[in-house]
Amino acid sequence: MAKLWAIASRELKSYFASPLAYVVAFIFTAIEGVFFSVILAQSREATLQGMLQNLAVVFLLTTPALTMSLIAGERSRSTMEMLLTSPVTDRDIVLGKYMASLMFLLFLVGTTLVFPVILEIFGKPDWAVIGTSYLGTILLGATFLAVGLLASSWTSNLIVAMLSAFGLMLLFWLLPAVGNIFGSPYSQAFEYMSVMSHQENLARGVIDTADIIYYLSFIAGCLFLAVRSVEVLRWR
Amino acid sequence: MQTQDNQRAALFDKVVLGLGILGIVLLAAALGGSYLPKYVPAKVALYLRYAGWVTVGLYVLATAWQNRGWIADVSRQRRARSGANSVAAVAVVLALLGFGNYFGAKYHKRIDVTENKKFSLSDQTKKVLKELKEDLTVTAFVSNNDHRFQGMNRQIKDLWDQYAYLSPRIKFKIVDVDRDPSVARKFEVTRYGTVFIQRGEGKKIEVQGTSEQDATSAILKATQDTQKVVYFVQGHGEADPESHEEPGMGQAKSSLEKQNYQVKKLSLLTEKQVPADAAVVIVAAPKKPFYPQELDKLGAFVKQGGRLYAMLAPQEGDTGFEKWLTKYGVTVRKDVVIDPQQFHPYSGYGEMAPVVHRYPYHETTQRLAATFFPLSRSVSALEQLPEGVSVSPLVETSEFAWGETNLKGQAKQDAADAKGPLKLAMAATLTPPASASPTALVAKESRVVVFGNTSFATNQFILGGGNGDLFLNALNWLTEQSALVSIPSKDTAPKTIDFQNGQVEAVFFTTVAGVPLGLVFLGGFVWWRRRSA
Repeated sequence: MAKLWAIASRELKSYFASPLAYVVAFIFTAIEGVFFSVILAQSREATLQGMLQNLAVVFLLTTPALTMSLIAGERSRSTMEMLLTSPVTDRDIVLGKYMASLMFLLFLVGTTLVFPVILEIFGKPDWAVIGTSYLGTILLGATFLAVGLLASSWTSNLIVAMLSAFGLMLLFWLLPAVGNIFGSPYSQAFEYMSVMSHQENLARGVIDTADIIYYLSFIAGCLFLAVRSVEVLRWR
Repeated sequence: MQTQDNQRAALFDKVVLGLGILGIVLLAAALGGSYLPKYVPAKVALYLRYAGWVTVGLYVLATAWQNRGWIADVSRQRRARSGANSVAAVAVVLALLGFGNYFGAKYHKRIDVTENKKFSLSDQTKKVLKELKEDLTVTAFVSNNDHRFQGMNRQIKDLWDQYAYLSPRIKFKIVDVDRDPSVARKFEVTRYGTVFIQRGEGKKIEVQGTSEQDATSAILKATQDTQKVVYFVQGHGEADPESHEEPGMGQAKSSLEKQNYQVKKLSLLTEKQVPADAAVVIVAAPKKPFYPQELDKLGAFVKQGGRLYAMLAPQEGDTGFEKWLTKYGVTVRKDVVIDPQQFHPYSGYGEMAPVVHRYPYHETTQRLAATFFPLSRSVSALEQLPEGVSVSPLVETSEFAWGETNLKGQAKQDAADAKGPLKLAMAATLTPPASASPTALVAKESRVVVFGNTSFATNQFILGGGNGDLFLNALNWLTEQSALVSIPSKDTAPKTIDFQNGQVEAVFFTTVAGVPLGLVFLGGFVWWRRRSA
């Protein structure tokens, strides 16, 4: 376990050391600030729903950039062999890097906490709903990070990692549209598999165990496949 | 020897190749045949397809046999074995995750954490569902192919999923009208989005609307064996339940029907007595005098356990009805209630439309929203109640109200006027005396509700505030259908915020400039630290 955290903290340090993270954070918070203020000024409602929906789109666009270098970066810098020959398991590597990206995500989400505080100053928002909405957003972001990490494990080229991560996330986002072509009951299956359809309940304030299971199993699946990819790298 | 082996091998190769080609030809023929049903019957196309796949399968096996040497060599390598293990492991894990999701979706649990539980069903519905004794089949007929209905389809599904989740007796099915038109025809479905409830093989009740109230009412309709009848007395200028004009009560009628009541009109002159199937008799704002025999018939009805819903209104003259009501312990004053502090601002009657916020008295008014009563008379209990009569108030004004008795001229509170707080509605219960005639049937309790106002239940005002709920709650108390006490619709709009001047801009600058710049400074700080370290 300690090795896992060692990898995680090393990765996290490199996140905060590189200007990329700050650029992403700056753009992220500025965009969210604009969305929040504009939506609030127009609707005058004490809710985070609009902002968090936009946040999902921002996640789609920024998480590939955040995860592309996790494994592909090691390979492009030729430090992968050193990592593989250290006394760490493949699982440690994958989970450690995932933890780092997840913590950075939590940092980004944390910067949005100023919004519910503003809502509370001016109105009476439903804090339970805010809580579940954040839970949904974090699960969504965590899922995107897992996909990004998986894509990063497939290649040594950062751009390829970023684009394939984006492509995969977009595919899962758009599954309901594909499903509509086939009609029920297949469309229901596609809708279940879509990554956004499980946000609805949480955004409204309803915790459904099926949604939680979906996200956790998605993340688990991606991480498992990523561990397998790292294993393959050992052969070479 | 070698030549013979070579010849056999060459022949085998040709056979394998032939198999491959044949397989492809068969499959192509099957595909082509499926598009030309006129020339190629479906059965033939099906057999062609089977034959094609079998042939292709044989081809694959034959090719594998041909290359068995290569396969053996590769399998021997470690990479292949680990690769195969990997593939197997991945397949197993993905299958596990898939099953996990399948069962997770099937046996899921919902927790609604919103403040007013707006995504859960109300307690009344939960009670109704718990008391279900038989299975109910709920069938929704929708179109999954038309995008316009997606929102409605989702509403129906969300709502009835919750019902099915709460009660195993509710079996919910969605039928795609376009795919199964025969089922839709059997149910005589005419519109997309129709939902039917059926108890066993019994009558199919159609659910009107997609709200929780509509659904629960329909469930009650489906589970009740007899329908109760509500009669509106006519002949004295009373409000007309068939009318949709402002003073009419057509709206009240349809809300009664949604609650599984049948609504009929009653003329006390032409009928010998109040019909036996009457559950409640409503008298709504009579303007002309009653004949004595009419009042006698009403009295006889109430005496044998009948339920009376009396609604009056301020007017000149006397109908004799108010005096008759005193035998139930309630007097209705000849006044107009004025409340200068709590009145409805938009009813058009100004201070003569008192608003009531608090209901400290009766169970039927417990969770009621604010109600208002344009043009109302005050009611009160008699000092000396008749034997067997108990009375309790339903609705009471604020203490600032008074009952103006001077119906002409300026309205001013004086000694003749009753002082607030004034009661606007009373509920009376009559228990028959123990010394009933020996031949009488089992004595039943009678109930009478007297309102000093009718307009709250007319089309003009019944949809405002809690008026509709009050109307139904009082009626349900009369018929002792406490389960049907109406379900207040949940407030689904989020709270709104009022901003002062400059606050919106402050928020904008803080969030768009403040926080991001703060992060830039943080980054700069970290970078500076690293440089100097």
